[in-house]
Amino acid sequence: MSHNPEAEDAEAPSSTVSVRSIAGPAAPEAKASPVAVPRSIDIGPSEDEINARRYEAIVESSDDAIISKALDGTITSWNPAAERLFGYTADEMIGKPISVLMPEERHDDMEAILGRIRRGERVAHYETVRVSKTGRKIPVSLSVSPVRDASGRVVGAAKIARDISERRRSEADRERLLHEAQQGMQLRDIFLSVAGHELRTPLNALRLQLYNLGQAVDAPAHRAAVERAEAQVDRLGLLTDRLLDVARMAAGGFTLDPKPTDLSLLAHDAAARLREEAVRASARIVVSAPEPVIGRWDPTAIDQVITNLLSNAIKFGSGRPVAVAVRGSGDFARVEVRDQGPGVPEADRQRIFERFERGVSERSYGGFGLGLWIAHQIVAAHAGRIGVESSAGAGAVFYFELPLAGPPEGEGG
Amino acid sequence: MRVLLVDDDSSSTEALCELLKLAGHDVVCADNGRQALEKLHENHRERDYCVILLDLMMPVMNGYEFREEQLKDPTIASIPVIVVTADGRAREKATQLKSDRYFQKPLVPGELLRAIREFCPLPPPEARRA
Repeated sequence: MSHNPEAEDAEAPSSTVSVRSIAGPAAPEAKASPVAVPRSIDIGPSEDEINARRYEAIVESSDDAIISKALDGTITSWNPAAERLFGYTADEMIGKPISVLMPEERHDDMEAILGRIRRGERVAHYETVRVSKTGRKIPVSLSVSPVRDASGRVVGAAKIARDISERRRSEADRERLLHEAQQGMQLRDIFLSVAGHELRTPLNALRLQLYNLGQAVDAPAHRAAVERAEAQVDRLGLLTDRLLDVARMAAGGFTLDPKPTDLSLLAHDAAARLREEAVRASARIVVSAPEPVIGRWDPTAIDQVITNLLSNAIKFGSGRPVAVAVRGSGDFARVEVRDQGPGVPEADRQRIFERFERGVSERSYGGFGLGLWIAHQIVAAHAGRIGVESSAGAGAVFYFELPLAGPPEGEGG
Repeated sequence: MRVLLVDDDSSSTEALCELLKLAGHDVVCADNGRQALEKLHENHRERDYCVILLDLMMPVMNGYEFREEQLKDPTIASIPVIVVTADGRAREKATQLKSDRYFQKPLVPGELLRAIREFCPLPPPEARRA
């Protein structure tokens, strides 16, 4: 915030307050006047008097402190809100210099503000600090206008001081919360990255050692035992990945890193990576992605969606071929993963995209029931949609569509 | 032609080393980036190494620093690198390292062997026995 008062040129007469005189303490006229006034000649208050009373009522009832001062800084009026804000009564303050309210470090304020007022300028929404009677520093927003006499000469200033402590507090709160949230997110990312590393490293050694063991043993029973152990390691690896993904997503605001990405390439890559898994399930993956389909997406996240859908299709595809198709049309790209398994009953088609839900019993297939939920989260974050088409017994087509333009701004985190 | 394996996790390195040897590859191991550079310079010829399997999180010199040094040195810059990492965003890391091949741990041995073979064709069995 600037230390110099923001000034507005006050050419327009409406931004100045005109008064005819600076009111002094009221004289005890009623007692002093010896002249008897005939009751019949009661002409009532003049229009000027009505206006003055109207202004007085506004000033009296204002929630903002309204103070007027002479050009040397001497206080000439002080409303009830000023009394509430600063703790001084009007009697205490009228005739005192306005500098009483200024903290040591803000004494320059007075000259800067009065300088502008003398030039006929208005100071608007100048945020500064003032001191109350008890010494409490109060953040205030000041608006100061020149007061002119009948001839248009600037004779003083009218000041409105608004207490902005509450606003400042909520600004500070908001900043603190934002900072804490950012810090929390950063910590979470670091934790998940370290946790992932620490969990996958021993799994890696375990899997490699099992592979070597499998190469070294001859007896079929031993080989089968090693294969079973390998399958368990695979499962642990998958569960580890899922758990970490979900921890990231459930905490909210998982970050996407959108960049130009070829969906066809991702499909081919995922199919190649899952080839062995398919062979183990006696299935075959057929990819139909003849040309690049480029959009602005997070390649790691979208790769995960394709991998999850493909992995499901292999798992539930009854050992029959699994087909992946990628195509672009208009502003959208569409990926379809078709299996020839038992299909998904209509009642389950919505539910399977929820967390911890699966289409089949836990006993049939392992997992947390999170793969489709993760896919759903990622596609939704890209402003796309995901779904399944199926008729019982005739397999299922899981599909997702993504806008080529990628996720809306702000999702890139 | 050798495979240079750079990883600080000794259990993984040991097992992977054995696996690659069983598959017929000649393997040299390094615990970190610094040691890897030393191994490369001991033999100081790109033609001695066909591929580098590079872990990322390592003490002394990590995978990123190693790759930076490697690319600065024209005698070793062209040796292909396969990123092998336990990081969940392996693809992204590989792109950052200007490496087009990557594997996330836990490794699937068959896939890794296929990738290595693209860079390091195995000599015919007779030559291997010799």
